[in-house]
Amino acid sequence: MTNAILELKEFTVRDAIFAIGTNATDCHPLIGVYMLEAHARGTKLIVADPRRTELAKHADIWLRHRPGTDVALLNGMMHVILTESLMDRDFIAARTENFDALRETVLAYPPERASAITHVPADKIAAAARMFARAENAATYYTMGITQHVTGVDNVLSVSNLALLTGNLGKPKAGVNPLRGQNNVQGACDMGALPNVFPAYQPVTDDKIREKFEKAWGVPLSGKPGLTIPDVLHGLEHGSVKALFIFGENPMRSDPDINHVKHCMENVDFSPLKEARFIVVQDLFLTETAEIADVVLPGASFAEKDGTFSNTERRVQRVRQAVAPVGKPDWLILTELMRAMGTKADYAGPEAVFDEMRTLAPSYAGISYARLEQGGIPWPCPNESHPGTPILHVGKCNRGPGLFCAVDFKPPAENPDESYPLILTTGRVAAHYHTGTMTRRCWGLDAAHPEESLEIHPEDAARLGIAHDDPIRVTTRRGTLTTKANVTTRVPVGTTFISFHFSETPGNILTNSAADPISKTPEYKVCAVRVERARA
Amino acid sequence: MESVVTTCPYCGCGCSFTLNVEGGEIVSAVPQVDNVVNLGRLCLKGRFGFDFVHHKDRLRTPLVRRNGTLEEATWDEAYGVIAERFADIRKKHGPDAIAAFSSARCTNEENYLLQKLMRAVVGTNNIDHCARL
Amino acid sequence: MNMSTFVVANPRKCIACKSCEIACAVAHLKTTVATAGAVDAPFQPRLCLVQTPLAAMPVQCRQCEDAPCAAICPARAITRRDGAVVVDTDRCFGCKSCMLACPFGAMDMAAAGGEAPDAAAPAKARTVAHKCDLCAGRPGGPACVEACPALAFVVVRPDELQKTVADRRRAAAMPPA
Ligand code: SF4
Ligand code: SF4
Ligand code: SF4
Ligand code: SF4
Repeated sequence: MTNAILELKEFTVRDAIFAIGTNATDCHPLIGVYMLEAHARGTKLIVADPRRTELAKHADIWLRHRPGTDVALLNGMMHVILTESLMDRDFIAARTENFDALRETVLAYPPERASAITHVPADKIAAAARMFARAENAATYYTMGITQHVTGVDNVLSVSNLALLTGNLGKPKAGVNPLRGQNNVQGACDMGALPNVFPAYQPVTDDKIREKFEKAWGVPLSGKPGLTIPDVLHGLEHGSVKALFIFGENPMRSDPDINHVKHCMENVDFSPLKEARFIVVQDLFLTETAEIADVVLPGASFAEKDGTFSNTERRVQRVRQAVAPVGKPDWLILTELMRAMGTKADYAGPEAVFDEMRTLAPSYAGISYARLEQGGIPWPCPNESHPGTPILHVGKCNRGPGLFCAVDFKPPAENPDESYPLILTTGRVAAHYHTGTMTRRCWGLDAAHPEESLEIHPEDAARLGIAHDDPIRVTTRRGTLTTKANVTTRVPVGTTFISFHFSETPGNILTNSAADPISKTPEYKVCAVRVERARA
Repeated sequence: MESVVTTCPYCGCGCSFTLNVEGGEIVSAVPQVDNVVNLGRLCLKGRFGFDFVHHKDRLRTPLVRRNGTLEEATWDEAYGVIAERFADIRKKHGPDAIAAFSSARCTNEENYLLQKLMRAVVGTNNIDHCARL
Repeated sequence: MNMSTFVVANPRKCIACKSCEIACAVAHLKTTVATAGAVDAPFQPRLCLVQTPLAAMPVQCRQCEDAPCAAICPARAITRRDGAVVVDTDRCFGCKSCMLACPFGAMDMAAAGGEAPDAAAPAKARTVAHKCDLCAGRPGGPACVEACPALAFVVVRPDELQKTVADRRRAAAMPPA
């Protein structure tokens, strides 16, 4: 997020919130609640979502666009802003680059054309554009509904174009705010759990940076960017990757097209050496992924260890041990393993690890456990007297002037056809988290939402002879599963929805692994599906 | 009863709460009031999502696959198998034949250690996590 | 006048998360949550989230002054105690008349003793009337109110209700500005 969560408390009648591709009330309930409270105080609320989420129910304007048409929708809104001269000319002149290219592209998307692509009435697109542009401050929030598309990067660029066009960057109650779906996605990225960067986004290809880390760690380091998750799976399938260490993840449920994931992981190398792949899983439970591992290490839950998480607003906060670990604290496992592999790794505890990290990660340099006792600190925090940075891009964008990146609409990778006539989109429910390994084992949460169901519109259901709660078979080109029908107008005609929390009916057996060419984020949000009544 | 202030393990909001512990078992989670995220509130996962910690299915000892089945092993055995296989693969195929998926659910310290393990000990940048998923 | 207190949610605030249902079920457990999970205790909240295309809100007992459920009960199992309408589960024989009588659908049936789980018991448990008891005896007051992240509930106390009504009457009497 460029801005802070609690800013939502300060929105007034003159401000606007634009929530696109984010089911915040289910996935980030506190943020969703703050949005609704702002709306109750008179803040304008614009929601773009194919599903009638709780947020959509309360919105001033709800844009129910077809899954995967975000670029057309946003370009349509920008068209209205340009032709009605609602843009922020001063901001564009002083703080941005490449405006002409944007204008040229966007002018090809009059609301009528955007409407034809998105199925949102043209006047609604125009009304949303006016509401957004006329607000004193307008903040955009998005989640995976924007990123999990083959055009995920284009979608993000479009969101950012809209913010730049209206001068909504680098000030309070504005900005481009991705809501992180997991407690420490932000932190895992910050810590360099990415193939191209060391901690704090320092490129592995930069010789100077590499030298710094080589000196600190006392070994020569590779300057060749590593493999992303889909590349690793591909490597396992084709034999170039022989070993995989999976730390607290369950790709056999969380990754798209899990039949294919399984095939990759179980792939046996039939070379003369007869060498199989080697998989290590460190987790709390014997997950579907752990079941096929060669070594399983029992880790510790958040309540059984010390450390820090960095939340979606970049705020670093303490995690503290409350009970004795059932397994072993993961930091301890990793240091013991490093020693078993012949490296010196004597850390007195997580604080010592944190202190080593912050000498190497400039944005964390000023954060210490002692300071965190007074509460969380948002990075960048370059030194111990720095208060932290709740809003990014104040005065200028980090990369200098804000760059408009004009993008054209491209359709999703897989579209409905005769054999697979409906769209399937995926997401979460409030009670559960990711592949459910934790929440499905919580008494209240599992009882409140004990099983999967497929949301399907009454018209589609009627045509298929399906009644509410009927057993149904859901099939895509990748796989099939049996679940219950949830006949509801929460989804539009032609679109169905399933979660991925239930290991007995894993939604990701259906999803498409086609991914954005740059971010490599798979298109979980759109694929083509066939639904039939299953014989009970 | 002991009380420990900590951070929620679920979504990216990062709410903080107090875990109340009795006889080694977490009995409740109560939101912190004086912070800058949740102001005395918690969603259902934060408030009622702690009992998995005590679930009977929790893994207690390392497991190592022997003759096709996962069997209980000591920590040293498990570390030994990993170190040996990694060294072997590294020798035959180079460090880039080894990869790791880190965790968006684990701590910063643990993510730092795993990327260090991959980069400094194994010698590859093949480290990623499920930010995209 | 002797009016009762009741709890009601505001559909303009509710995010349909069911935290209130879980809070209610947990508040009435006689064990810890982890134990309930270990013995697979039945989940028996005393309020129920209802979703419509326009909004969502949980429905629970209004603690009616002249409760239709109590009036119809042939066992006289439903009485008013400390301002709450309560079921004496020992007297209840599960005829379900109260379910039919309640105009809000707030009355439910559940396994007696399901909240003091004992792995062997639920199979044999009697089914009895089950409703909101305003969390009688709970130190923090109504658990649903405490757990709602959207602060969607109002505890309507007789004095406040009278004040609200008085305010509205005053507002209604004021000529529009
Ligand atoms: S159960 Fe229904 S009828 Fe009985 S007191 Fe409650 S709301 Fe009134
Ligand atoms: S179910 Fe029980 S409480 Fe309800 S009317 Fe019958 S006997 Fe009375
Ligand atoms: S007041 Fe107590 S008994 Fe009534 S619905 Fe709320 S939590 Fe349940
Ligand atoms: S806890 Fe609050 S927001 Fe959630 S369902 Fe209940 S009333 Fe609605």
